[in-house]
Amino acid sequence: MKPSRRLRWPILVLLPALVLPPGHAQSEPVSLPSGPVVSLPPFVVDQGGNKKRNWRFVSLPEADFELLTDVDSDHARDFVSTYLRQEQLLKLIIPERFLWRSAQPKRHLLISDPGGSAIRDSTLTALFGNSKDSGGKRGARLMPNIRLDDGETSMVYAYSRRRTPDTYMRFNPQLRPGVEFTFLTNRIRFLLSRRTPALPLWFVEGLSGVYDTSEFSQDDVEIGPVVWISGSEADALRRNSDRPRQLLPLSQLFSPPGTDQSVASREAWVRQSTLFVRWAMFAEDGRYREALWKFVDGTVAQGLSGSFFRECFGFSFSDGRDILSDYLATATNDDHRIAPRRLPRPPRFQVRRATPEEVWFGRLEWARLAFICAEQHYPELRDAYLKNARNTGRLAQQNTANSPQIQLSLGLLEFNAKNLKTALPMLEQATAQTPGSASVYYAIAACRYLEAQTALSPGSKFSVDQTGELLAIIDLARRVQPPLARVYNLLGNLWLRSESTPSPSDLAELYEGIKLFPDGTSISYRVALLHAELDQPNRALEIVDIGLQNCRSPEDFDKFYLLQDMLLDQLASQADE
Amino acid sequence: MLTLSSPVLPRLALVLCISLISADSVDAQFWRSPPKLEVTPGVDQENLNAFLRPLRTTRATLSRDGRHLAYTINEGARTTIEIVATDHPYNSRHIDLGDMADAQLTALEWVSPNRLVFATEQWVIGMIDLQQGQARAVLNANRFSTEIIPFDANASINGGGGQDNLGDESYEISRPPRLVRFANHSRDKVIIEGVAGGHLRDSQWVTAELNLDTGEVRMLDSVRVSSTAMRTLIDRTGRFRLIEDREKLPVRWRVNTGKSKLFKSRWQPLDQVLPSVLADPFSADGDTLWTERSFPLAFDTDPNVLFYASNVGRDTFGIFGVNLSTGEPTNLAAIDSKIDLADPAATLLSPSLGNRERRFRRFNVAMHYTDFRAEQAPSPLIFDRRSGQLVGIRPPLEFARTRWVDPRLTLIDAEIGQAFPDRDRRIIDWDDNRSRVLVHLSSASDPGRYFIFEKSTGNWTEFVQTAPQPAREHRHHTERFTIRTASGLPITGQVAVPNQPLVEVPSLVVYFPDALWRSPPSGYSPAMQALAETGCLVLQVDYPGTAGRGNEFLFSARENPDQAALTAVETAMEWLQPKHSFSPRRVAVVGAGYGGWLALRAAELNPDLFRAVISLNGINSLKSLTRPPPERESSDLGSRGLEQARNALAYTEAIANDFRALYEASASGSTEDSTSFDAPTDSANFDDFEDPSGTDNPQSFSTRIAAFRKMNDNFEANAVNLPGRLASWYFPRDYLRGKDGSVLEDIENLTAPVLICQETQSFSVRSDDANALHRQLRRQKREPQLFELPAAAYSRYLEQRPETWLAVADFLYTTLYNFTVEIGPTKEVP
Repeated sequence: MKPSRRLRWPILVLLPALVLPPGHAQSEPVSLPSGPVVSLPPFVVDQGGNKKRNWRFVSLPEADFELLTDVDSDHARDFVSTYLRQEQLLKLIIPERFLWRSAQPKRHLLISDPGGSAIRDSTLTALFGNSKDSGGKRGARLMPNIRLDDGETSMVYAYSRRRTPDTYMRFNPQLRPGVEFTFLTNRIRFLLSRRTPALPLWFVEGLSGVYDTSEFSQDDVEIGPVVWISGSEADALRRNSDRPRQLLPLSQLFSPPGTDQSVASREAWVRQSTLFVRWAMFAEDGRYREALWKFVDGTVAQGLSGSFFRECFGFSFSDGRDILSDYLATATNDDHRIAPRRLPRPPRFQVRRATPEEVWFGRLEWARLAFICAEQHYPELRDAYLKNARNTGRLAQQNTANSPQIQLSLGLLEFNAKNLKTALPMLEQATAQTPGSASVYYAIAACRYLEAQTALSPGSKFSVDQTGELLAIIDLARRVQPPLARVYNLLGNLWLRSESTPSPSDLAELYEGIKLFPDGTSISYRVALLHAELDQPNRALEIVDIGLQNCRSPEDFDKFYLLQDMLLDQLASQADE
Repeated sequence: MLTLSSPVLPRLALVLCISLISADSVDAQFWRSPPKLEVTPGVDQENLNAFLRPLRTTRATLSRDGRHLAYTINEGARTTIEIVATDHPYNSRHIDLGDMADAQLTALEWVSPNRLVFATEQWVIGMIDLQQGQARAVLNANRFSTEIIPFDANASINGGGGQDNLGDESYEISRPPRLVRFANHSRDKVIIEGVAGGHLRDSQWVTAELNLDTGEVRMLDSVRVSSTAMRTLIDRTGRFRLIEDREKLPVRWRVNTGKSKLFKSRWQPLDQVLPSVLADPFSADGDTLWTERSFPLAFDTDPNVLFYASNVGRDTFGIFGVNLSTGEPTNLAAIDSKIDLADPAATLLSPSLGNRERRFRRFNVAMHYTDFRAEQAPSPLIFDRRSGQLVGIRPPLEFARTRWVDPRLTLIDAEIGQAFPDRDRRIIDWDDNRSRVLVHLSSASDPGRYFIFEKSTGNWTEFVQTAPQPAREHRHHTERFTIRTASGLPITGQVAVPNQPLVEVPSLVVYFPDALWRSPPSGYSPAMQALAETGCLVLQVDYPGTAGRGNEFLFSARENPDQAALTAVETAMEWLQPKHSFSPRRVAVVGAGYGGWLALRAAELNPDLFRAVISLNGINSLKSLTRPPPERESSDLGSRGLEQARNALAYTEAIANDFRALYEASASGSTEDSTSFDAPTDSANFDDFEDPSGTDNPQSFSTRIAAFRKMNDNFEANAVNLPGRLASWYFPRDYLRGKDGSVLEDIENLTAPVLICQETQSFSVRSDDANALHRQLRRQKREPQLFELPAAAYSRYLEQRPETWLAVADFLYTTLYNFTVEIGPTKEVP
């Protein structure tokens, strides 16, 4: 007899539960996870007392992967293999183009557990053991880890507990060899929500929801039933086809939810998003899967429309809602298994000793990201974290003979700490030796912008030359992956304060920002203001409409409505003339 | 003078014939199993049954506190009621109606948060108590007529207490109660109405108040049924306020002025209380019945305010209000320049009767005169349950949006429309706070679902499907269209696209529904789905002559109705070809009733266009429209028929006695002028008749006249045949005489194969046209197919029966594709 699926795949979960956004005023907008978040300050990486650590390093540029670890080579190899296999399986569910990509590899710090795991284990189990974000995987073992990111660099800090067989055995009696961990839903949500151009929220939540019900083994993925309110509700739906069910009209499902939504309404919206994505991916042997991808691509490119939905799926929103309703009893009770005949061979990799530069760069980056996090969420700890990061930076400089990479990281740290005068020369000096990242070029441009702005007399604007210089740096930031919303905000600010009139191609760059970050209404707002200044109220009103479609907070709505009124007045006065 | 040519003798013969037919034998015909059919390949019989299955849920109502929903479930021949909490976990109760389950519900309303009142088509008014979880009957037809407001047929005949020496059997006439509305002052009481009468002279229409707790009935008002076609309108207090005499044209409304009977009749012509400009259009003669007229709809909470429909001065019917006490119009004036907001035909053309109603009418002829049915005719007016105020107007065209008078409902309706733009939406109920509304959403290819929409949260909860349907991929997408002819006249209709065309470029079936002077079916159409199941593209054209879109469209078929319909179809086909390609060499035409005539005529007028013709209960010429439906001259009168026959025999015996007396008198040389007497058919002669002998001598003339009167009373008087009169006025004389537009006259042009599907032993359709067509085609050496089906129980039309469509599919495959039909296993059709 087939064992219960809940018992078949108890697995070790790589837990990025603490999705703490980078704490900087100019950081990317952060989508908060749906469940309650227990927030703890990030770990600080130090030398671990007197313990001598042997750092190992794995770099896989083709997989955007880097690992810095002090575990032994076998363990590191297993970790990387599992990671790569999980990525491959993930791509069976989610096309790669929907996942966030950065020119910076996804960095991982895997630290061997020095002991005391029992204490951490019980604490973390108490914290996360029953939370939804443990994936509902009973018997799963929690690996304490934190993922931090600044919109460009993503870094995971994880403890390895290979050497705690008691715990291992206790929690994972049926673990398949080699299956060390799976990515948690928040990681998937992060990869989807940070993707540019931005994916529709219903898709992010829906796909995350589908992932949440999935279980990965070495070579297949099993998609579990949709959790619809409760297990008893699923039974009731199966027994009674007339069982009432709450489903939104699809036009409402596909629209961004408002910020004033109740918890219950949001949960219902997430449930239905999951149901829709699951239906489109798996109903009728995946007949609508390609239609789903096409619909998402089209929605990203052209916005939501009922006619495009019909073009993709062959029926209307209303029919779609009815189909979902009829599918509900199936979705809440049936599994799907995805078992490819053969997965491609994972890329070859080598576990080698880490160079001092790699070790210090990893540590410094973690310290920088931890500082950003602390500044945003634990302001009282800001200085302590900054001090620690600076110390790490100082040691890194000493141990790596002023490596440009270290310089860049240190420069960014100072920029994040708003110490622009220190940051700018460090960053400029480093970029003369090695190419920078988007964040680096943005930081340089922002420093220059603020410097020039301070020098401006009141009421005056940037000259044509100043504008050109700043544009050149912003252009560098714009050309490096990933696109950053703050770059486009800076670009908008620059044009608003410039004597130069933007050309159509300049404006096209700004529209690119609106398209990449539709939720970032501040870009739309700046572009609308720019059009208003250019005496193009009609175009400005069009941009205001786009902004209003994506507003989620009352403050944003107020801001746009005010601008809309102003523009309408402008139009009326033009008509009078 | 009574002569041999008197109409009495043919009637006598008829009665004798009637007596030979027993009621039971006819009923047996109804229950006879349908003929076994071969399964047609290509048609999924499961799907077909699902398309044609009667609706599972026909009524749903939201409690006034918005916390419970009650809806009917009709399965097989039984009805049950489901009551569900509107909040999770949706606790539900299943209410079995016990003995009352064997009938559809005609009303279902919340009395309080824990109680519901319902009415059935078997004329039972009942209550459901949620706490007890059961239903009980409060009032039925017998109790309404015998215990509370007694009706004695014999007493009534003899003017109250007289003895009838020929009446050897008395009978009770049940007065079936119809639920009208809740009483103004209490929701524990409802206003009911009923009619009863053995014949016209004693027929009475009453209203009463029924206490739902105690079952006590209190009489409110009554009127005598004064003509063989009469309607009434009561106000919110249950008082009769308007009556319409439709026995002869012009039809007239009289109004109850409430004045004392001592000085003046309380019923006065409408023009005595309203200015003639408002009152005149209420009186409609043959010409104005369809052109410019007004007709009443309902009374407002203010019993002096009448809502009425009128098209005076415009093309379409709008809805207005007038105060009968002042003659002043109110501020209600709802007009749509494109569609009628009220259906003028609803008051003139009655749907065919079900068996149950027909049985009641067999005894209670007052129901026959008044067209009294278990369910009230649909009204376009929507009233708020709490305030009683008019809040909206629902046009008769199924897809037309409701015009809300209430601004909050307008906003809610707009929100619903935005969420489901391609659905026909119908707000059925709302809670007193108007935060939750019960909505029915449907489309041309889906009979729909019931939802509760919560305004404050934007949540939608689906509760039940109107009729479970095959999965979407087995349904046939149906879309509406509107195009314009060269003359600018709109042509509307629907196109059903088969999900699995039989061949790459599908055949086309043109479908004419039976919708003369009626709003054409524009919602979910089982017939369209059934036809598309054959793998053909289906085109339904709302031909000129259908109602709902104003008089210009309605009258556009007056001169050449057959040619007008064909032109509309040709235009629609031209439009359709580039949109949904079909094979022009494989086009069939199907029609039902009047549509059947159009189908046959279309094939005669353009023989090259159609490869096959199918007539479902079709007529052969417009002459048939002037004849009353069989029910009006039914040969099946059951025990009443036997009684009539007995009375007729008694009458002939009385005549024989008279003649014998006359013979004896003449033989004895008496010169008494007793050989002539006033015609007994003239009722004016009975009332003042006095027995010249002053005795109760059975051999006297008085006995003969009394016998004649009794016999005559027991005949069902034929109510005015309004459709026949409308046809006489609407169509050109030559069409009605059968000179033009007769299928039989042009039969040589009917070269395409013909399938005649005909319901037999039906009380709503005649089969003589079908038989004549079949005979005539055979004489022409054609081989028409005749598919006869006995009338079904539960009033299922021919178009609602799977057997019909299986026969149609078989015929289409044979004629359009020359397929060899393989016989498969037979499945019983529910």
